[in-house]
Amino acid sequence: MKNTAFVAKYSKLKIIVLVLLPILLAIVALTIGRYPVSYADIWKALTGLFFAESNLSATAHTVIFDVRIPRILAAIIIGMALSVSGAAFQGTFRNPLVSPDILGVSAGAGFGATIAIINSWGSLGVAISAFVFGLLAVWLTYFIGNLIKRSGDITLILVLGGILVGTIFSSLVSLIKSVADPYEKLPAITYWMMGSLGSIQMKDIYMVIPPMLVGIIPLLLLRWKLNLLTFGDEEAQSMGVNTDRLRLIVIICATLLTASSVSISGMIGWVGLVIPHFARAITGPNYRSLLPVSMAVGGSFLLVVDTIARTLLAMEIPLGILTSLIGAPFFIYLLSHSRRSWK
Amino acid sequence: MSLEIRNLSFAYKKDQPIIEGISMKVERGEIVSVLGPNGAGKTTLFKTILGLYKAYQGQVIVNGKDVSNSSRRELAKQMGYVPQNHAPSFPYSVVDVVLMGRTAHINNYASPSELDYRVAKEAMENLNILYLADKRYTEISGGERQLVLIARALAQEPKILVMDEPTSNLDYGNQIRLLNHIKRLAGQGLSIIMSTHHPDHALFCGGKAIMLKDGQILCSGSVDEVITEDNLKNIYGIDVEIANAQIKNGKLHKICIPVVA
Repeated sequence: MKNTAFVAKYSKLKIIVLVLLPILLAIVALTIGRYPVSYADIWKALTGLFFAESNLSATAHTVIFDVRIPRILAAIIIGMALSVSGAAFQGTFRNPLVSPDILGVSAGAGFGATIAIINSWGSLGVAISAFVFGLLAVWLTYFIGNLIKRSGDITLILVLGGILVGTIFSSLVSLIKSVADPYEKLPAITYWMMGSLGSIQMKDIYMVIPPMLVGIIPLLLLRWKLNLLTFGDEEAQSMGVNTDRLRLIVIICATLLTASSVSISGMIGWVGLVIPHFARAITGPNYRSLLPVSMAVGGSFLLVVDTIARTLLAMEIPLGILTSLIGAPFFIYLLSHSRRSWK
Repeated sequence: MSLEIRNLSFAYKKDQPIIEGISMKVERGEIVSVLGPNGAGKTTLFKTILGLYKAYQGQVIVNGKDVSNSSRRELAKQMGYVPQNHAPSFPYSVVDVVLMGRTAHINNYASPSELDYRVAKEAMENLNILYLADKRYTEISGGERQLVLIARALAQEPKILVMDEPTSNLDYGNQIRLLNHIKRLAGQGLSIIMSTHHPDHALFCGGKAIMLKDGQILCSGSVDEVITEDNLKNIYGIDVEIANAQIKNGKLHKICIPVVA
């Protein structure tokens, strides 16, 4: 009798590869860019952290520590956050086509950022405002859901509510754009809506790490139970899950992840939809491994795409545009080639 | 172990009860078949018993204790639910699906342990489906899926199994095999409440039967008392004859034959 399925399966090799992948890619990405940085420079920078003496040039030091490291960290963190958030939303809504945009989170956060830009609230103001309106959007979606809850299943109603809220917020963004100062504010808003990591600084990263940890830790702890939500509320309840509470926790955490990402990077689409599918193709649908794999793959993916975005052309390509251009065809490929990831 | 249902009612709107005044008792190792036409309220009754729907009247009492204030986790340790065949959204492996039945026994922030794997394996062995363990739940047949859902409920280690039309969508051979599994599980001490559209299946399983019509109990008792020509005519509106067929070993078997006018 084949017995493999009954031992908790952990391929050590797989874990090592998944942990090392983003780290290796980060080191490679450090060397890529307009200003040449060699592996020797990276070594010097690293040793310089621990020993006072380092003959690294001042320019290289600035490029490594003030330009590339914040940007690389941001790409990895945001890639992880958007992917985990997307995987969690797909499970809670029992729908593999769902992404963080579904509850109007992104549109709400986008509106918040637009208001901050038009009022010149500075980068911290943009982040906080994006975050607050992202949460407000989810709350509105929930509120609308409760208004029309009477019949039908909660998933469909929340998705409908999310579309409504998303439409309202994107209309408001258009309204603000139409009255914005066309020489200064309008380009800033437009550029921000396209998504970019071009102006990331270390302080942005310090700012998003706490909310991201608050979002990601409960999801990782509850990841096995997330599986049960995919079987629908009644079945999950009959197996002993308090589905209302679990779903609320998952939605709040996933929203927190999306809103914090959007608050520093602008709108970066498709990552939350495509990466969980890709991860599912690698490891199967069990959230026990799906969430960690989504994190590793999502972080690596966004890092690679962002590195392309800043190096491919003489000018920087907005990251959000590139993720969409890569994500959409890749998604079609996944859907047509992998039965594993799709029913 | 006993399950007692007292005067149970459920309604979406007041004054329009879907089920009303349902009372019954199920002892350890007993099978209760619930019969009734489409829309009689069988599934609603089951979901109300399981606490998935909130009863607006009446009580569900397990071991002398009213379960209306029990947590989901406590309820799940008492009652397992085998829903009607369904299409899952994601292609889990069969062993993962069975393991999900262990949820009520697993700490909130934990994943299944070696013990949980062992219980899941035993549940699958009990139903002879260990060979399915590594297959994808989305790619097995309807009959196999039904057995996986039962294994999942068994992994829950409940005292009572509530099965909603367990034989629907199964071919003839699988129907009989499934009924044999049900009889065997009852023999192991599990109480079983199941709905069926086949009077013959109730007769095959023995034990008790209940007939539902328009959300109310028409009659209840032993299968022999309940499955009668008059009662079947009453709930389904067709003429039926109950015949005693003698099979090769000399035993008599009651069977249900529709009469063509």
